[in-house]
Amino acid sequence: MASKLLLWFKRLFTAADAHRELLRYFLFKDLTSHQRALVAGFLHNREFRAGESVFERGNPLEVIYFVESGEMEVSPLFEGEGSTVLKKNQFIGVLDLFSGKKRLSSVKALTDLKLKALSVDDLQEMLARDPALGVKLLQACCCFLGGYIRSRIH
Amino acid sequence: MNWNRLIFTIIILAACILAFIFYRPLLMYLLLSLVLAYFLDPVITWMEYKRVPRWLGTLIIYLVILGLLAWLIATYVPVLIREGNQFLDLLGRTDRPLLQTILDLPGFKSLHEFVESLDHSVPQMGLLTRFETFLETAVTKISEFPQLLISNYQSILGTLAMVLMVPIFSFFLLSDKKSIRRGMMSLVPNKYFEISLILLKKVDENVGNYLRAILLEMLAVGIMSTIALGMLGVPYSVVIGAIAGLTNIIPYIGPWLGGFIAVLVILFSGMPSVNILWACIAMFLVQQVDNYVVYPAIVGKTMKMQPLLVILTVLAGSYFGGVFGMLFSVPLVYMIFSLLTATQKYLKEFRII
Repeated sequence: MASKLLLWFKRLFTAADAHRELLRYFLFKDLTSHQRALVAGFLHNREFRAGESVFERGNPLEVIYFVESGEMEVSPLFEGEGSTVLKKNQFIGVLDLFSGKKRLSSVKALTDLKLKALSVDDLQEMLARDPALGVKLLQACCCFLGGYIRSRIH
Repeated sequence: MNWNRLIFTIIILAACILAFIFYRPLLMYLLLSLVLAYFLDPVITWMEYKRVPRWLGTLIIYLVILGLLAWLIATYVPVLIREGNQFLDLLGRTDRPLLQTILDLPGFKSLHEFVESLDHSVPQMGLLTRFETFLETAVTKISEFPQLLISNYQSILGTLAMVLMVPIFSFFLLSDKKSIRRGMMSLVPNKYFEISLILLKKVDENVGNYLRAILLEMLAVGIMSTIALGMLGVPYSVVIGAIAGLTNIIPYIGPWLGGFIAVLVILFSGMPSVNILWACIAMFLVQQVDNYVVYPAIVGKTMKMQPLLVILTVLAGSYFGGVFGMLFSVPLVYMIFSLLTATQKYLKEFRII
């Protein structure tokens, strides 16, 4: 009986990992289940129809979007470049985070789109409150930006 | 024009209005629950980051508060009951007029003598007659007090229900904070999603900071009043200090209430009437420290409003909502003002207007 109670109590703190799907996103790949649960609490589900605008270049940056399903078109950052298509498990907004909190590109849904949205303010709150989580997210951000710069050079 | 969309919007609006009318009696409970939730949220969020689930954190905080309340009740209620019974015995005496009994109390006796001497010096003002008429009216009101309790039992039960319901509502607001927020945001169209997030965050921050600052100010005034009155030897200085702290949230009017209760206690306890003067000076000093040190340092940072506008808002609040109106009118007006300013700014930045 006592062991059953102990097990029940232990399960309260180590509940089944309900947020494993977040591991699909590069930004969250190193987070523990508790950290993923914290992040999941701040994620909003959004749905866009094909052709609908997600955001416009020059808008204030408030949200990082993670693609759950569908495709979206990102307008070129520089003149002479083609537009980029973002698919399932990719995300947008991290680059804008380091560029004065303004959107650098416009994004439009190519197909019906399901996104998860994370507010930048909530992200900053998490970084401030949980330094370990902050280090992991910033490491992931740096890796992502490094990959982006390499791709631009090549 | 998309007629289906228009009809659906009208149905939603109608449902919202009906829901408002249906749940209107509970709005005050909800408002108070929100206030309690704002007070407790920082601790529960801190615990959440330490791996304590929100529901468990809320439960732990509730147990701590209950423990504190139980200790306070065990310490002070027996004394209050004893004093209350003595007071009711005094009211129930039939062998002599109640006014005479009260005038025999040392505090009232010396006050009566003081007014009498003033009346002799300036007889044209009829000070003594006015003082005795005032006392008679006050005594009549006090003797009606037990009857008042019986005839208003419905209001008393209502207040008790509120005392029980508010923590229950707050529990759900605290433990389901994130899902409530997600639910609210899921109703917002995509075009307004980001701006709504910003505004929600702004309201959350403004209201939370203001309420927590007010709580800190209440605590500071309560502690300072308790120390000041305790040094003067006024009985029940902790209870009077707590009342002074609590009433202090009503701008401009509240601070006088604590001092008024201290004066009443001195009058009834038989302390020398010169202590009334000392108590008034002590409470005045507490108010000065609050106005010039505590308020600017804690509350002033969270809200900037013209003093005249604050007074007008408090008066309008009392006209529309009594004591609760006085309590919530200033933060509400400030919140609406800052929300409108921010909305205009972000609507322009998002190029919606």
